[in-house]
Amino acid sequence: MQIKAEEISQIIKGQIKDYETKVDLSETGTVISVGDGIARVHGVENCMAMELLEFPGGILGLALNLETDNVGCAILGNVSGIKEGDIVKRTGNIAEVPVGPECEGRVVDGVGAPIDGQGAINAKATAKMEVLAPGVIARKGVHEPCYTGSKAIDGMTPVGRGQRELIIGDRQIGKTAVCVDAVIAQRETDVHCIYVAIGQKKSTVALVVEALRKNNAMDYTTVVAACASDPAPMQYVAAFTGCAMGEYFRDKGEHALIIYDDLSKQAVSYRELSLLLRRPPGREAFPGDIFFNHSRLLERSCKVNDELGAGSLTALPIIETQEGDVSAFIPTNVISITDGQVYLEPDLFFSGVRPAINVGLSVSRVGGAAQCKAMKQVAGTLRLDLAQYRELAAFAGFGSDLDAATQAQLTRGERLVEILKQPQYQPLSMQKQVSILFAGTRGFLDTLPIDTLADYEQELYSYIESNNPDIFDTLVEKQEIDSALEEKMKQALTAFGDSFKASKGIK
Amino acid sequence: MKNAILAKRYAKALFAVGKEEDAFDEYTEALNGFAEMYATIPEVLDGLTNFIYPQDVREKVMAELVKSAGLTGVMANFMNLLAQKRRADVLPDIAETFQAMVDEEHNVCQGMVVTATEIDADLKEKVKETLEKITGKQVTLNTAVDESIIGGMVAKVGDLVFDGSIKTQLAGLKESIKGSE
Repeated sequence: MQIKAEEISQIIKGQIKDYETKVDLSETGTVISVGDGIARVHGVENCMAMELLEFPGGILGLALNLETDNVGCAILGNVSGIKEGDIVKRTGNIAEVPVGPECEGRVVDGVGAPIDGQGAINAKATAKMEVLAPGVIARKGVHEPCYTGSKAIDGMTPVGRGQRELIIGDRQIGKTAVCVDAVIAQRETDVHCIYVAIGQKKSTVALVVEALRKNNAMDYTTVVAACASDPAPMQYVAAFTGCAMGEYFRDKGEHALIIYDDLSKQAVSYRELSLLLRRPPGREAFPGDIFFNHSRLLERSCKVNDELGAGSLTALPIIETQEGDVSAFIPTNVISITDGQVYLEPDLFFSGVRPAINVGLSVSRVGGAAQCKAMKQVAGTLRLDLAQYRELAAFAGFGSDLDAATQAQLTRGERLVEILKQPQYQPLSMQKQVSILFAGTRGFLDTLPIDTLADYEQELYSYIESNNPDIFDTLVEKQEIDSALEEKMKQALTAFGDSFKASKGIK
Repeated sequence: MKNAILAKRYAKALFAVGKEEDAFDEYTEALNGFAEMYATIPEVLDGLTNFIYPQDVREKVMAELVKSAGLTGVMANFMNLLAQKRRADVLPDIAETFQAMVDEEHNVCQGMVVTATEIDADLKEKVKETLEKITGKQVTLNTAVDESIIGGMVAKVGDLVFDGSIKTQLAGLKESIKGSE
């Protein structure tokens, strides 16, 4: 950022001009003790819960515990400059963050201050970090799809706008990848995205931002980053900060997608905060209100009714499990709060099925209503086919004497598993997903060797785009496969299948 | 923190007695005197609380102090009780809490005005009146001189601070220039 001497002189001039006008009125208190990111403050008698307090040097603190003679306060910043006896000022503001379109394309910290070196965010609006979720009357059923661009998710565990779909799995098996792809998939839509990174390495966040930028996804995305080196209170509030930014769009009648990466770390930082504030520990030393922490956060993601503009906030919270243990405290809590989960499995990931979605354990509780008709038509039997395939595959391992029907089912299953694989950063549009799933479930792939399917898929899309573009157009327009379209698709697939076989030398 | 709770308990008891006897001023004076002595001569606190000295010696020290301060009746008993209960170290906190309780009772609050140079009586009276208008209470105004504020005035009453000092304004100027970077 260039500093212009002229500008500074202007500012100083302005300041000196109205120098006499202001007397700084504040209510103050003194720091009794400080440590581990927590300060106890005496005084500030009229302090409100969740109010911001200002420490010397402009560092802000969040009043969390209001007690008879002191206020327990989480410091949102560097603690090292604060000492006993320091004067603390009330700001009179409940914690607020900048929101709105100005935040898009920016990387901010846990309280909404920019950390990407691109200057101040001149947001026109601010919003309270903690607000109540919309009530029953203010809501509406989830009915439009929010495509994640992943064939496996959009086909079998569809996510609707306003839904909360949990992404759960062990470390390093592509949880973040699924979500980043979902953000990239919103490029052609009117959905604004917020990516909240909690407790991650700064290098990881930098990689995600880079990936988003490379795929032109930063234009409509805000990254809220509270990294591992940030104090626990920052990591705790980052989720609420991101949510407030998403709510802005929801309440304006627009659509937003928020990703919490991840809520297990947020729970851990809240545990740290609570223990330091001497709140009594419960199971796994988490505080008693850890469930409420997550439920009030995720409840704010919803679809609001038409009178309120029919906006939506879709949430994809991530939970990291330890050794696939979904019955630990935090995973069970969040599973029970969300409207379904996508379960990622290490075994699948390492055997090459990526995204490593376990179809049996993944569900979407509202998604069916949020799937377009075309997708339902092609993916309706997908889940069942795959389940039967897995069952048969387990038996088929014992011997090779199988009847023709079983063989056919195995062939179909293997191909379905293959076409559900998808490379990273390549989300697919609905019409492409429908066409490849159509080919898979209608048996157009049964005669092809499995290792050619990746090529088949890529070539199919370009074939349809160049030879039968009306298929994609009709799918986008009608959102369903009527008999005329079905006939056309069959013809196109047969024709393409023949030329593909010829080009690969398959009989 | 622990001391704050303890101080409240003792101050409350003393306050109840003081109300019956109508002797708030006397008590306040004695408590503040002792608190000041603690602050100026650190050895006193040591002599009263250090466990190296036997309990009876510590009690005797307190008794002597009480005698030399000329305290009698309730206050003498109170001081001796503190020594006996090994709570002599809480005394400054008790003094503070007691003062606050008495102020509350009399609808008075403690004000403080800090200036860079000595303030004259006229201006002091004006400040006092203004503070009284704002708080709706009688204000006992103390003054202090602090050259580091450069100019202007800082008035405090309770938790409220009216900061019109040049130091703060300059700091604000600095922040606003920094912020526009």
